[in-house]
Amino acid sequence: MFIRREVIARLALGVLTATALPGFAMAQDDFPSKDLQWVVPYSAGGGMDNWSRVVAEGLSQQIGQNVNVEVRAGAGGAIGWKYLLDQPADGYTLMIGSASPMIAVMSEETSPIKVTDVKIVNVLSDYNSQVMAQPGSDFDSWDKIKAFAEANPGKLTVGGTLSQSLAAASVMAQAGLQANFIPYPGTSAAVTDMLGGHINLAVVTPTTAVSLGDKAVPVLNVGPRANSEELTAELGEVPWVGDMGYEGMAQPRWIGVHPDTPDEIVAKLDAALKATLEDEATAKRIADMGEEIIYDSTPEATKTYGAIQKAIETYLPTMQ
Amino acid sequence: MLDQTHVLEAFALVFSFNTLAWTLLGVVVGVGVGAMPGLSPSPAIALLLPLTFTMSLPAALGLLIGVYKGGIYGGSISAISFATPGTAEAGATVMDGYKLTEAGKGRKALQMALYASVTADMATSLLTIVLAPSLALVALNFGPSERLWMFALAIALLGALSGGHFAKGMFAAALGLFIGTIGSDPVSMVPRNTFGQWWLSDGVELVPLIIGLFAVATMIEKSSQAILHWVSKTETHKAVYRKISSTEEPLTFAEYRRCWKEMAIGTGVGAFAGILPGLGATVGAFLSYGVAMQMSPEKGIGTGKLEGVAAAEAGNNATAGPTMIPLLAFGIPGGTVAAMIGGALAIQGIQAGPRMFEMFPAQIYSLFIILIVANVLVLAAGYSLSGLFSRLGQAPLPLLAPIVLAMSMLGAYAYQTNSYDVGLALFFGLVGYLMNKAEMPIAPLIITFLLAPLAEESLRRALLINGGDWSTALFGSGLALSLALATAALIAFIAYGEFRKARRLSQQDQDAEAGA
Repeated sequence: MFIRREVIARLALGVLTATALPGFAMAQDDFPSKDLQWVVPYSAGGGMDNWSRVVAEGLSQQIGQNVNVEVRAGAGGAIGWKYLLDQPADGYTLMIGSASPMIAVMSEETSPIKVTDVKIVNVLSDYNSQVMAQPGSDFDSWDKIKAFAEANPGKLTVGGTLSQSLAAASVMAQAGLQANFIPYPGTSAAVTDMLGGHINLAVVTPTTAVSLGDKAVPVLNVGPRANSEELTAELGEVPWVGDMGYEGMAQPRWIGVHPDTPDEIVAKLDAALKATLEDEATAKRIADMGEEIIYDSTPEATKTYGAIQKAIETYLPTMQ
Repeated sequence: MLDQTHVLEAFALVFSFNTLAWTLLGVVVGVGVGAMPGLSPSPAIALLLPLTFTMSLPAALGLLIGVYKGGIYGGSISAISFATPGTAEAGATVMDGYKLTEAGKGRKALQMALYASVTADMATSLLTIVLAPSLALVALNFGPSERLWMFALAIALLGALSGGHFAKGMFAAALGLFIGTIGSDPVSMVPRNTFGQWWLSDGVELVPLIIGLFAVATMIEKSSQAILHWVSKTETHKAVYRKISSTEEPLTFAEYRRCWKEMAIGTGVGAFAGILPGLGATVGAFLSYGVAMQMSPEKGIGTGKLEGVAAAEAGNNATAGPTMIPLLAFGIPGGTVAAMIGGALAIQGIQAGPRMFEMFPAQIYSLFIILIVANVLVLAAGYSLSGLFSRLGQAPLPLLAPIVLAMSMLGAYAYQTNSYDVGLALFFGLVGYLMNKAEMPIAPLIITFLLAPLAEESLRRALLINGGDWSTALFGSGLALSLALATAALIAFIAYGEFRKARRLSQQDQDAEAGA
């Protein structure tokens, strides 16, 4: 009697799974069969929003479905992230991110979102954060900065958004220097205070560095690679931390989906996005924005994400 | 300092059909909204803000500034025609304006309102254009410590805004302070005061707050009034409306010139009220009116004189340009409308602040040009619109209220495509209604809501920069110290004024008792 019930149960389970499998497989084969949602957890009109709109448009050409950009700013990125997690894990909702929402989520002890609550599809771009100082001040070269920081531990003030400051913090920690990190909601506010002499240094994006022209001098490149030729042409030679034996920090624009999304769907999204970035029209629009495409496939991107997570864990405490 | 190429570029941007058309639309909508009691330019701008995302920047600025300037003028239309101020700042125009209408001089009054508004507006717009870039240079000296005291100064000015009841004003300010702290803390982004609601972790936004406190609250109030006084309300309305016939005498140039002193007072006081963060058109209007009355008691302002209309209307319109100065020079919005214009700029990727002039010169110059153009359009369209809108203001409430409420709900939703904002607008509608019933002024709430989080951010940052040392954080520079002293002096002045008022009142009570 037992055996028969078990056998029936197993048979039933087998039949059920067998009927479900075609449905499952069909869902994967047909992906995508309806509109996609692209979540932007940053403010409307900002760099991430612009990136998203350009790439989303290119992506919808590639996959033949609409890609709707949803701006959901707030709480440092946590609001958009929560929205992503509330959607089904079917790959129809993706989110663009950077170090900022990761920091926001990791600095809040009681956060309902864990930094591991995402599966990385790939990375679209990256940039080197630049540390800027007032020309003629006591901080306009790395040697001067080091001298000051060694003589006055904890007095050097460095301003920037959380993700930018983190890049500087990781280098300072590696160099054994103690600095005072001042968080700002935006790069522009940090630069204003630096230009007014209220803080010593500001950490900014390459675009901002270039736009400052003569008003500020770039003293250090804290990114994971030396500045490109184009950037060096605009900014001049900027010392790279890699040449000094320190590890810079990447600032990737990553694309993520719900952590329970099947790997096959993630692979399809990766392929579609890669094709989008390689498409001439999209590439041109990105270049026109003054931005660079630095693509990383899923495994590399996942590693980069892990590296940033580790950097945050290690260096965020030095910033607080 | 004015860069030729950028100025020319700005002119080209503004004098395009697109920009001018949107500006004209803004002016028309603004005058209409201002003329209709219960509507005012702030919620209208709030409703239009999300639309500007798809527009070019000059067109967006033209639309919003057109609505604002048109609205301030528009309030005078219903104030003069039927003794109901269309906007709070038109309240000072009622006293003389309606009496003039009763004396058969309504047309003169309407025209005086228009010309005084436009004259003062032009003068202060030019002032803004001259002052803002110079202030921007000075602004870099304002670091977190100095900004903190500027905010403290502005919040201290609340004492001037509380109207009759100081305590009520302070309570409203405290409410605004609390609402401002809801959300994420400005430095480390940690949520607080969110009542455990995740959708509050970014705090309450200005737009649903304004829509609720003004538009929704007024509609609730008018609807409840209409329901309670069903019959008598319609009767009163008919009795109040006097048709302003076009056969009336128009304003003569001599009469316009006669009021130069009042217009000058309005311009000066209005510019002051506009520049200082926290004050605004309402303060400009009432303060100018009061000053004009004090300075020339022989003119009999208040008994139906054109001078009264001139002072009040010059006073409120003069604030329009200067209210943007703190925004343009420091990146600090001095009031509700400036905050929303700042929002429109941000949507287009322009961060307000002292470096706007170097980073986006053409755009800022186009804003300046629009300040003047919108004013000219108000002049051109203002009078013809006044006839139309004075009649529209008579629209029956059963028609007006649902339309305004529907627009408010749509506007609150459209701002961030967030349905929770609609709920917030409704909630604050109720709050605003209760505040009006308790005769509690709403302006202090808005001001602390706007400024307190900024003040907190500055204080926290100043402390971080100075390693937790309060004395250098607060008084580290000469500028910070002077601002601190100014704030202390202002608080002392206001406190003394309140003390004397209380003494006078209790003296009156004593006299009354002795007499009785």
